[in-house]
Amino acid sequence: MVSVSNLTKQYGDYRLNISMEIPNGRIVGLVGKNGAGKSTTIKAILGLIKADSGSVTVFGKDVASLTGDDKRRIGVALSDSGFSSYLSAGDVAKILAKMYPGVNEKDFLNKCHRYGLTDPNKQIKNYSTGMKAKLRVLIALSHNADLLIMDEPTAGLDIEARNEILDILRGYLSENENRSILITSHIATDLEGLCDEIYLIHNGEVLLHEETDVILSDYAVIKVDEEGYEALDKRYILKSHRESYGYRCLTNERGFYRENYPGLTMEKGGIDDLILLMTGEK
Amino acid sequence: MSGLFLKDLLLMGKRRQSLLVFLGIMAVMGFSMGGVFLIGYGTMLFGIFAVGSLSYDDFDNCMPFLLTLPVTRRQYVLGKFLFSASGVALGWVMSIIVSTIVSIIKSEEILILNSALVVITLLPVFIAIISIWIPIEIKFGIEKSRTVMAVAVGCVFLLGLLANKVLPYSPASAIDAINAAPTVLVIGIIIAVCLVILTVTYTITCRILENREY
Repeated sequence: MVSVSNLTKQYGDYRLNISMEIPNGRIVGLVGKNGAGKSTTIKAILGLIKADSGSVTVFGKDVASLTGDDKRRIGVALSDSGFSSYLSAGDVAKILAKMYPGVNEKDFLNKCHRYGLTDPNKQIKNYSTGMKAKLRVLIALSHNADLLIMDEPTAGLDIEARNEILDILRGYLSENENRSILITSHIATDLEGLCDEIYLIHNGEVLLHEETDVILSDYAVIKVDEEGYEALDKRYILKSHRESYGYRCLTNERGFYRENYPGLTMEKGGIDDLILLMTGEK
Repeated sequence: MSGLFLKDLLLMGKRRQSLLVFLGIMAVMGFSMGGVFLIGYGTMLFGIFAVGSLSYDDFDNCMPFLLTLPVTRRQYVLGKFLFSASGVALGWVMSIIVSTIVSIIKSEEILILNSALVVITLLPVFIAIISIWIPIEIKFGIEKSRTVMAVAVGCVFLLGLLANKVLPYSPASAIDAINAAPTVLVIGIIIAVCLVILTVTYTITCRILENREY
């Protein structure tokens, strides 16, 4: 559905150089620290910035040549941009109904009501952070898009609001298995429960691309002292980080170390560990 | 594009009170001044009001999101030109209505009957003027565009002064020549010039937006 091939973009000293795919029916998570290049990648996929080199294709077309009809197949929620805050949910419903065939003003407002946006005349500027985030997601989902692009949809939200948004997304996906999502988040647990595959980017480059199930089942964090570290077979150690007690190592072969080093202290790996260890210093 | 047009209309509706104040100002001016000045002033006021929709798009960093909606960048620009032109046209119609009502109340001759051609010409002229504002606002944003507009108006004024000194004939003789020419010809030339300005500003605006990154 989306193909990013050798995309480069230079901003002063910072350089993005990335390739990635969003296949049909897949939920792809983009993780990384602040400034890693997540938002820049999303902007490139949305055609908001021009690549210095490389290509971005969406639905098989160059992103710059997407027509209005092509864009109707994309739902977007950006963390720092949306409709004017002087508008209300009622206004947004009217606009969406005008823009997207099949969007019903009343249905949209009913959905808003279901998720706590009860007053259709209240201006967005008077919404709480959680309400704004929910509205952004509901707008992206309003027109049954084939492709959803969500930049930090859960940023700044409490656990309840985050779960609510993730539930909205899960519900949307369960309606049609061919839909694809590209989602970025700082919160690993959000992505672990939602994504099929994860791209970890750091300093503008893809450090790792892996299935979420594989990360959760095969990745682990090994904690060893100096002596244990020296004796460790490092073939499957992706990254090691020096700690006060010795070393913290990330492996993608949990089974190997469990079998060969029965006494080893090992914790189940998660996306947070992946980010911390893969992007940390050795 | 109709969705974005509706968005601008709804945002304009949020400024109902300002619109009412504008109409009040026009009524007062109609009684004190009247004539072509009122129509020009009212038309320009509504045009500026409509161009203000660009400020709304810029103000909340709405542009990145708006450009992900089902419109191309060229369609966005076309929408802004149409909306601004509609604002000018609305102001023009409202000004004529106010002017006519004032003339009737004051038992004066109705302006549009004796200056119909001049009044008609005001519409394309103000649409052309407003169209110059759009690329400046898109290129420089809300704050800087005001400065740029002020500098641009200053430059035009200075050029006028310079032309007055340098050119071998006086502006008064040019005005005399215009007055002597057939009215239809003059209006035709004015409309043609306005169309050229509109085409140039539209093309420039499309280029600015197509090259802009968000």
